[in-house]
Amino acid sequence: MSDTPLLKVENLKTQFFTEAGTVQAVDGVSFTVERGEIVGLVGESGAGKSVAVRSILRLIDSPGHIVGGEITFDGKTVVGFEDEPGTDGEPTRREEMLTNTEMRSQIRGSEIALIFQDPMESLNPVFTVGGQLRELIELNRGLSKQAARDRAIEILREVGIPQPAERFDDYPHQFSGGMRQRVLIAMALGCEPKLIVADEPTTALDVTVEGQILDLVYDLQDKYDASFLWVTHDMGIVAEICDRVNVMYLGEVVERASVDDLFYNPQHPYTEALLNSIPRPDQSTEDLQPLEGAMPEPINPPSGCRFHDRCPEAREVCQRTHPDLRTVTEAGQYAACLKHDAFEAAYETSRPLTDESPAAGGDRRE
Amino acid sequence: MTDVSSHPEESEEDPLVRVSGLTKHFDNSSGLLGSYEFAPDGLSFPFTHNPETVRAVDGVSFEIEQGETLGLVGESGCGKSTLARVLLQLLSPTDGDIHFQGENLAELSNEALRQRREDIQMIFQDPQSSLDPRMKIGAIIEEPMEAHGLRDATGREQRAKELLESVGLEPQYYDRYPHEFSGGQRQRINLARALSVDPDFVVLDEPTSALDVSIQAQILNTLQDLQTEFGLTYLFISHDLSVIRHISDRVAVMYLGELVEVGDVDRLFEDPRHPYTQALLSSIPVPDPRSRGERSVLHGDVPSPINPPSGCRFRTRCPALIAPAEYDISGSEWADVRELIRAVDRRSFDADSVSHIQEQFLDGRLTDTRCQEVVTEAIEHTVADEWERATELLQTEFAEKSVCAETAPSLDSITGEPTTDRRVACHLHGSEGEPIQHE
Repeated sequence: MSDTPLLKVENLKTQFFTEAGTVQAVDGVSFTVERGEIVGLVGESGAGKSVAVRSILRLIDSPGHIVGGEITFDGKTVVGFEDEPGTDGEPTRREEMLTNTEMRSQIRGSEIALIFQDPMESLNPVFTVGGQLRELIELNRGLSKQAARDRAIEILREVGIPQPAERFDDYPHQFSGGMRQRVLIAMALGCEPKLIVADEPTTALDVTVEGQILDLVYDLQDKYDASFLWVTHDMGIVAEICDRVNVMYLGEVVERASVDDLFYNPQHPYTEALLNSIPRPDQSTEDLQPLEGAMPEPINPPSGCRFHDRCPEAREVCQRTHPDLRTVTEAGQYAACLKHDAFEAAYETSRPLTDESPAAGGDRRE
Repeated sequence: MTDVSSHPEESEEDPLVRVSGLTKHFDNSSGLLGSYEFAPDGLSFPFTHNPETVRAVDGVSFEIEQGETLGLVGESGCGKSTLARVLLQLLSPTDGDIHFQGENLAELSNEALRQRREDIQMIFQDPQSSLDPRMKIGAIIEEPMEAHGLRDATGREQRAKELLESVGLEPQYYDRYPHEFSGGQRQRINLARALSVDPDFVVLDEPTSALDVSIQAQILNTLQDLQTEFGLTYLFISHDLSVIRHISDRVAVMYLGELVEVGDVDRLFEDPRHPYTQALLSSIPVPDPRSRGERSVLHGDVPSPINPPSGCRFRTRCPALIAPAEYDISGSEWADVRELIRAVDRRSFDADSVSHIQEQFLDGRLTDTRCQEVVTEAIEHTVADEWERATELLQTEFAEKSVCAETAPSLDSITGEPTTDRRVACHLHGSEGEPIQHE
């Protein structure tokens, strides 16, 4: 058991069927989370990060549907479809795929916990903080009311809530933003899950509070040996806490690397561009080199490589051939870019696209 | 425009903007009787008048030179945005002066102020809500020109199209509506509108916070290009230290309504002097996996601006709080005591036995007998489950006897600094406290 990853996502496809067309929010994403690891999922807004993590918990609401791929968690099939679609053309669920009830009782909260960006929206304003935490522990761990309360206070103290016994009966609005996020972390930990999915948990917080939360995550990971899937757009946080990183662009993973390789030896032009566009707090940056343009809509993604219309290294072949994620370095770094030899795409002989692009015309500029 | 003679000649030497003692307090109570408290005790008149004021901005002074970018940085709730709004007279100040090109904005009449706004423009954080969805881009950009009676209709249209190009958009966007644009493009439209009246001074309140990093970089570059092209002066407000470092010439750090440090951007980032600036800078995660773990953490939350701490407002979180002068206490002992004060305040340990707690927090007995007595007494209170008494005792005997609690440090130049525009509000660097090394 222990040599298989804790979470394995393979070729996940999640689409939203809207009046304007089918939005391919997540299109063939694969990644794994090993036990005890912090894996980052990075990208700009609209890249499909949040849809991907919600798919893992099967929290996609209509008009969205998971239409393909396989997700296994700790030996259980969270998402799995038959190879052949059913008679109505819809994908058929495999038998071992968990039912909605099983998801609720076996996975969500107890095995995989989710921490959202906005702590105010995840806490119910009309119930006390302690009450919500106690209920969660009571339901998921089968403790008595009093035992659950004691455990709740203990966890609140652990996540750094001052005077936890006194604050137990306070309402969410009586807590500051950082304190609320701590409460959410307490809730996530309450059931001692194996995997914690954190969706931009510090984005709404101040830097000093963010620092406190990151430290807390470190301590708790040590103590509970939990794995994390950390969704963020902040490269600083990625550098600080992640072991491995997946970079997403327009519904696809375009690069996967250990955190050091990602920053010091990026293999995909998008990763490189992302790193070049951030101002640094620790040194003065003379010129930022921003990417041209903005990310296109996933409703009608560009042909070939989805990044080709913004890519400084794009060549003619990139318009035609869609690269999949392949190993491109000996260190086992993955990238989806035709410039690497692994693709044998005749990139070297292809005509560069950067100097002339009459088709795009003026609209190229953001 | 009564005092026309004062600005064109003097603007060479005078700063463009000089703010002195700017203060803005908000009344926190609502309704006619909101500030009255009803407390019947049977002995006195049961109503008391007790207005709560939020001291959002308290005695802030700074200058902005012609053509420079002053970065204003601080955590949320520290009063950055209020300061910007008071500066532009969108809120009237409780006290203080704002001299713009030699003229005191706080004393202008409404009409004179309206005319003055031609020279001062503002960019807001949310590019969505700052554009009227029912107006076309052209009309949006032309509106300020119309309000100030600049140019005729054709002239305005021409100017609007020129501006669209300057901010990196296409002139043919003139006839489109805001919803057709992305967040970054909308922020560019906001820029074009602000620049339409040829302002001298632009206040940017978190202009890139709602944008993705790659778009943020585009906007930051555009802002710098425009500054060179139009000779603009910026006040750039942000909570993002990386952005502040990139865009600013000088930086002002704000905490709980007051400025704590002002200085040249590189000097301030390389050698921060105020403990708050130091904490702020060292708490940011650096986008470099090889400098992991170099981060330090500032504990606690920002206190409420309704009842800010006495003396230095940062003292409740300050890692370099100065030990009370009356005690003979070493640096490491003082650090232990502060750790104990914090732990008691947060009730973050189990109070089992006096000796055990003493061992947990202190490295042997304290040299100063009076200190040790206080500590022992406080620990005894915690063991007796009287946390509040323990907290109170430690506060009155230690925290409040520090010079940091007794007097508020003023924003002064640092002795030994080559430049005079580097100012810090901290007793460690002032004349009143002895400069001590922190651990």
